[in-house]
Amino acid sequence: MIAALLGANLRRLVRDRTSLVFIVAVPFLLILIIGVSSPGGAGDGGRPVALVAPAVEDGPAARLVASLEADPGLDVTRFGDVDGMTSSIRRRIHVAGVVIPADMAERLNAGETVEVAFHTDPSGMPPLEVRTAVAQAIARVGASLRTVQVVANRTGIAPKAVLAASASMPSFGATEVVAETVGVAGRTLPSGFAYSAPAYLVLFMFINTLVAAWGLPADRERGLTRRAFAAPTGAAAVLLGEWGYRLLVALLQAGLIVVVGAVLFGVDWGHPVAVAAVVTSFALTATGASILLGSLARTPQQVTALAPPIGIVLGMLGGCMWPLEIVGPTLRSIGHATPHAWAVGALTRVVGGGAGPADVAVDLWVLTGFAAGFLLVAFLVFRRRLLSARG
Amino acid sequence: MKARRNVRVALLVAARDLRSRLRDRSALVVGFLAPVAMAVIITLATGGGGSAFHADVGVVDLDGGEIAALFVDDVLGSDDLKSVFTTVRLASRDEAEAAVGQRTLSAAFVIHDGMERITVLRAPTARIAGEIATSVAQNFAAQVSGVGQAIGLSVMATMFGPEAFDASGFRPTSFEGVDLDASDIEAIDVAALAEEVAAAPMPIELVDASTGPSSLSSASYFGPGMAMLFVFFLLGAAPRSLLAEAKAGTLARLRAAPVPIAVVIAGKGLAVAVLGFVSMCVVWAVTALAFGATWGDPLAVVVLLLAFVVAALGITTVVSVYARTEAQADGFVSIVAFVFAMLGGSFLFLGDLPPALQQIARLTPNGWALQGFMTLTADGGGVLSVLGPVSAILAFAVVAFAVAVPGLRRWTST
Repeated sequence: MIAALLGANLRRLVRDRTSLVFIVAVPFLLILIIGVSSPGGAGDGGRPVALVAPAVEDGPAARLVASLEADPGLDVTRFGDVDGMTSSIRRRIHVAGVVIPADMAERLNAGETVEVAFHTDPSGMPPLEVRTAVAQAIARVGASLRTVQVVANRTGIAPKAVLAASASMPSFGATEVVAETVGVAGRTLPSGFAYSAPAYLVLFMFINTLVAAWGLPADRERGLTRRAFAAPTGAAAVLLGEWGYRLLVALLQAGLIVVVGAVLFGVDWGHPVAVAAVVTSFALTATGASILLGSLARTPQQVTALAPPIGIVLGMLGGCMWPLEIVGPTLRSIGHATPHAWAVGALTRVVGGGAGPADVAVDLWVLTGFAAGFLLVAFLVFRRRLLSARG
Repeated sequence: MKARRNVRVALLVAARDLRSRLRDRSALVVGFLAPVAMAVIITLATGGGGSAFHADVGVVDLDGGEIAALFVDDVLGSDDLKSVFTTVRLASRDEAEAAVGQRTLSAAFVIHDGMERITVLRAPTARIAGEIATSVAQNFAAQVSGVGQAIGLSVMATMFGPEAFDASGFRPTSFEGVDLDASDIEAIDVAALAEEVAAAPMPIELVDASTGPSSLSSASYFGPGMAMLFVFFLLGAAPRSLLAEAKAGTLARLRAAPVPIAVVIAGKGLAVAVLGFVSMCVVWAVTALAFGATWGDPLAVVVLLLAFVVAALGITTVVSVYARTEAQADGFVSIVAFVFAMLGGSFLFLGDLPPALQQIARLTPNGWALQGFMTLTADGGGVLSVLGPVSAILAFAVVAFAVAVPGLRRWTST
């Protein structure tokens, strides 16, 4: 009986190419966008900074540009003119802009002080960390120029010759700088693909599963459910069939996202058992919510109209669009009232931080609780609907 | 005369349709509640909550010399760095490691004996603080080695004479007469030289400049972004109800009426277009009143919204018209709505996307509209500044309706 309902639903899915596209193509497209937009994945790029600089091969301006570009905290994009740079900063594409004067070399030769401008949008948050990085790059280039100037003054040698000589000169009393990472990398907040892939997996699994609820009122309208219920099985079996089908589709979709992410974009999903456990428990939750919505809705149109906004709002609250770490404490607490927050939280720890099944046990319990709650309420509503339909 | 009657009929159909749509509570959720809820959530989540970067860092001075003191007091204590770092002095490397490991400090400097090395202890959670700390230490090392270089160059110049230097660097022509035990070398006052280097003015300075305030905010970006996503769901109702009427045969019956069937269809389209436009305006009003977000010049915003509603109506019609069932039409509309929203930048800020995807965004009316909205808020332009995006959006509408017409004909003829 359950198998028959499952089979009938699956056949309907295969025939309905629209649903298939939604289940397969949309998440795939999203992964593609995320995958392409965050090359290298783990947020290794620096803050986006716009740069206007003279196009010279060598000299102080070229060294300053090289120094800026070498800074791992900065992601430098060159602009042809100040207007283009300004417009980009005002559009929040770049957090700041650096303008190196075109006549930098001439003015330095003339003994003048050269001003490098640091442009920011006054209505935004000042990017102090970017300013510091730029100031450091300028200080590095400035310090070597200053040394050259002092030596040139003392010895009477042309600054250019001193500069050329200093490049090959071993330095006395050099201080070595060593950077060491302390603490477990596992506590880090994953960025780029490592965050987006699990977040969008959760978002789309929920929306798709919720939309699939339209089949319930559709079956009721056609009297199919009542006929199935008339068989000597009871509401629980009918519900199990409907629920099992949705669970299967949700798991297939999740599996597809995981495989495509791993094969095409090299996502390391981490501990397979932990991923499977979180995905399965969230699939149980999503299918529970789907059956509940399907039982509550009077028409299939209501389901298709309501499911996407419900799914997106819950996804936003639950941290599918941005990490909950960046929102205020109130919104974060509200977010944890959604199953999404627990699923995304657990998955990002597994994907980005190498957490195992034991590390996500709490999240799994919460998700299972959500699933049980949804299914219980769904069963009660479903049964009442069936009984009233039969009556 | 006939034209005026047709307009009246279209308006009557629109009014009747609008009334029945407003009775449908799910339309209210999709058209008003959901986009407003989303605009509110996005604004609360991404606006206002942020704060300027600041980190606590530790410093362990195992050298105790003058140069180390220079680093702690003059570099870390400078106004430039005080704005990003609060420095705490620690006694030992172990203490620093524990503090960074427990994340009470974002990073720590360990200055080793003899200034041979500065170790920067970084926490994996505080990447930016770690980058800045490393950069600061490297910069200081460069300054120190600058003094060392000055000494080296001075020694060479004393030994070989200025003529050993030319534009390509240090080129001693002859070692004759070079006095390797030159007492001149000892005569170089290292401390004085170091002081001279340190006291010389920096030839390059960083000065702050302003781009002028931009009113682009997360509410003024994601507000229209979300409103556009939901307009698709809202507008999809019109072609779906036409499809239902075509199946029920009521559409064919209308042909017997003394008005062209196109008038009835136009009326139904007008009803959802009004609903869609009002829905977007509600999101606009809520983001403006509740969060003070401006979408830009009001007239330009209205023009952009109207153009978008027309394009969205055309697109939902064209995807529904070739669907066989209402469920299929719903599915098509959902797919188009999501794909356009994703590619157009409704979910991810357009500026965060790589250039190739920013170009792909222009294949969607959403992408063009968001470009328009960004022009209005970032550059403060008027209607004229969004003529490009508006024409592009209307081009989508023209193409969509042109493709939809044969399909609509088929519906009404059966």
